[in-house]
Amino acid sequence: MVVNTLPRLRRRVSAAFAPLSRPPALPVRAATGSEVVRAEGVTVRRGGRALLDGVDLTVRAGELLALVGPNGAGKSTLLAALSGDVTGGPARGEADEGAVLLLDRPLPEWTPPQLALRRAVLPQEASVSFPFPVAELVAMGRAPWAGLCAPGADDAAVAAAMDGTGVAHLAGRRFPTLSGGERARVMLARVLAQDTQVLMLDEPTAALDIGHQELVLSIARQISEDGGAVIVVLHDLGLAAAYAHRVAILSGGRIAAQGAPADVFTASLLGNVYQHEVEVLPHPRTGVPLVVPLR
Amino acid sequence: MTAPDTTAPERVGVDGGPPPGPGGRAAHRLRAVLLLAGLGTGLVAVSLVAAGAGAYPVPAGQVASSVLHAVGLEVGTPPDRIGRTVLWDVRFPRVVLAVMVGAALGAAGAMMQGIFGNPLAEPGVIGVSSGAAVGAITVVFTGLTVFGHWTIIAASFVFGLATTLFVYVFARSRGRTEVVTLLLTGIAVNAVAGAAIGLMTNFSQDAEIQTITFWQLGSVSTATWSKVAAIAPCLLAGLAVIPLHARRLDLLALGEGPARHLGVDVERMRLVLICALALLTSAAVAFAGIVAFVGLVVPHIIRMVTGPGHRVLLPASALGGGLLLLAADLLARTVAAPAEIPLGVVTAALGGPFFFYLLHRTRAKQGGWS
Repeated sequence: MVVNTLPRLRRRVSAAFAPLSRPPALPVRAATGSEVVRAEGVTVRRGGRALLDGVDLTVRAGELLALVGPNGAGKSTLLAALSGDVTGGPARGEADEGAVLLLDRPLPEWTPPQLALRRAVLPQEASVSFPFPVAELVAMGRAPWAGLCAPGADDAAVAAAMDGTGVAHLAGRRFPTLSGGERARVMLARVLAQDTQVLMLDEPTAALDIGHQELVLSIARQISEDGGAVIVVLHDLGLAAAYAHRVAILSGGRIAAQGAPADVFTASLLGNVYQHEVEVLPHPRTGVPLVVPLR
Repeated sequence: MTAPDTTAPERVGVDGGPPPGPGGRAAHRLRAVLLLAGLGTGLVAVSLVAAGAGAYPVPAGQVASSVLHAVGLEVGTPPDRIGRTVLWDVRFPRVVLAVMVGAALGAAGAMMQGIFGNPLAEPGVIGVSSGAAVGAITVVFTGLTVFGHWTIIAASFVFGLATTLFVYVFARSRGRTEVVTLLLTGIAVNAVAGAAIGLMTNFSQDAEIQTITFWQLGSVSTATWSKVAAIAPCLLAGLAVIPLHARRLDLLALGEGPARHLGVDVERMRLVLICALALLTSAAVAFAGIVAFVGLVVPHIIRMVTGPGHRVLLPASALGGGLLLLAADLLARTVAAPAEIPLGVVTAALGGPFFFYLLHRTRAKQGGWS
C-alpha cells in the first residue's frame, strides 16, 4: 500500500544521503560519578555589564544540581553558557571568557547533531510558530536520533515521555489550545524524549501547580538517580532543598555558595543574597530545610 | 505505519495495548497522501480544461489524446491540425509556465513562513517580489544582455536575494519575527522598490513601458517553450532543498535555540533556504512579473487540511500553488474574453481579502499587536 511504501522509500532516500550528512556516532554514557559538565572561569559581559563573572562549576553524572538565586543573578545566563547558547564574540563591548566542557570536550568542538544526542535543554519560554499537534511536538525530541535507532524505539521514547509528564491524553490537541501548565509539560516531554544523559531545565516549574511541580522534579530526580546529570534553574528554594543533590547559589554573576542544600541554605547567606531576611527551619518530619521569608 | 508490532513488542506488552500515537499518525499520513494525490489529479484535470479553453476551443478529451499521442500512446482522437498548433504552440507553454510559476511561488511562500516563523510572510507582502522586479525592470530599462536570455533571471535573482536578506536582517529581533515589524519592513521595501520602478517607467519609451507594466501586473500570456526551459532548472533547484530541510523547518518552529539544541545547524539551513526561496521567487518574477498572495493563501489552506508539518506542507504548497495559478490564469483570460485581465490582478483580488481575514484572525488570537 502507498501508506506503507512511503516511509520505506524515505528511509532509502535518507540512507542514500547519509554519507553526505556525516551521521554522528552513538553517544557513550559517562559512568555515574564522573564529570560530565565543567565550567571554568565563565565570564559573560553584555553592554559593559558582567552577567557572569568567573563562574566555576562542575556537574557529575548521577547528580541533580539546582541553580538558585535572585532575579538577574545570572541563572539563565549560566544555563545558556553551559548549553552553548552564549557565543558572543568580542563585538559591541561584549566579551566572553572561560570554557565549558561537556564530557571532557570543549563545547565548540562538538557539532550540533553530536551535542543533541548528549544534552537536552528546556528553555524558559515555550512558544511554537505553527499550531503543531502535541504528539508531533514531543516527537520532535527524537529528531537527533533519526537513522540511529529503530522506529519502534522512537515511538516508545515519545510514549514514555508523554506518560511520565502526564500529557498522553493531550496527544491530538494543538499546542496553542493548551493551558500554560500543559504547554510547559509538553515541552518537558519533548526534552525527555530526546533521551540524553545531560539535561538542562530553565525554570521547568514556573507555570505549574504544586502537584505538577512535584511530578516534574521527581522525574528529574529519577533521571539523575539513573545516572543522568540534571541542571535545573529553580526559584522555589523549598523545591531545591527537597530534590537537589547539590545547589549553587548565584548572586551578581558569581557563585556565592555551592554544596548540599542542608549545608548552604543558611539564614545569613540567603538573607544576604536575596536582600530579605529569611528563616531556615528543618522540616519536622523529613529534616529537609524549609526557607521562610521573615514577615 | 512502520511495522511497530515487530519493533516495539516490549511497550505493547507493558501497557497491554497498542501505543496511542501510531493510529492517529496513520490517519494523518493517509490524509496527507490523499491531499497530495488530490492536488496532483486536480492539477492534471485543470490543465486539460485550461489547455482546451479559449478562442479556439478544444475538448478536454482531445487535449488528453494529443498529449498521449505525443508520448507515443495512440489513444482517442487527437485534435485537427489547427487545434494541434494552438495547443502545442500557444496553450501548453502557457499552462506549463503558469503551473511552474505557481509551484515556485507556493513553495517559496511556505519556506519563507517556515524560516521567518511567521504565517504572514510572503514574497509579495514583504517586498521580495518587488525587489526582484526592480532587477528585471533595470535590465529592460538599460537594455543589458550580458547573459543573453538569462540576464533577466540573474538580475532578478540578485535583487530578490538582496531584498530577502535585507528583510530578514531587519525584521528579526532576538530570534523572532514580530508581525508588525515584518509588515512594516515590507511596506518600506515595497515603497523603495515602487519608487525605483516609477523612476524607470518615467524615463522609458512606450515599448519599454508596456514591458514594465507587464512586470508590475503579472502575467503568463507571453509564455514560450524557451521560457519554460529557462524556469525549469530554477524551479527544480529551488524545490530540491525540500527533502533535506522539511524536518529541520519543523524543528525551527520551536525557535532558533531549541532547534539548535535538537542538532540543527541553524545558520547553514537559513542560508540554504533563503537562497532557494530567493531563486524560486525571482524565477517566478522574471517570467510572470509580480503575482502576489499565492505564497500566502496556498500554504495557509494546506495547513488547515494536514497541519503545519513541512514534509507535507512544502510539496503540497508547490502543487497547490501550481493549481491556483493555473486556475487564476484560466479565469484571467476567459472571464472578459476576448480581452485579458492581468494575472496579478486576479490573484490580488482573491488574495487581498484573504490576507485581510488572516490579519484579523492573527490579531484576535494575539489580542493586539504590541
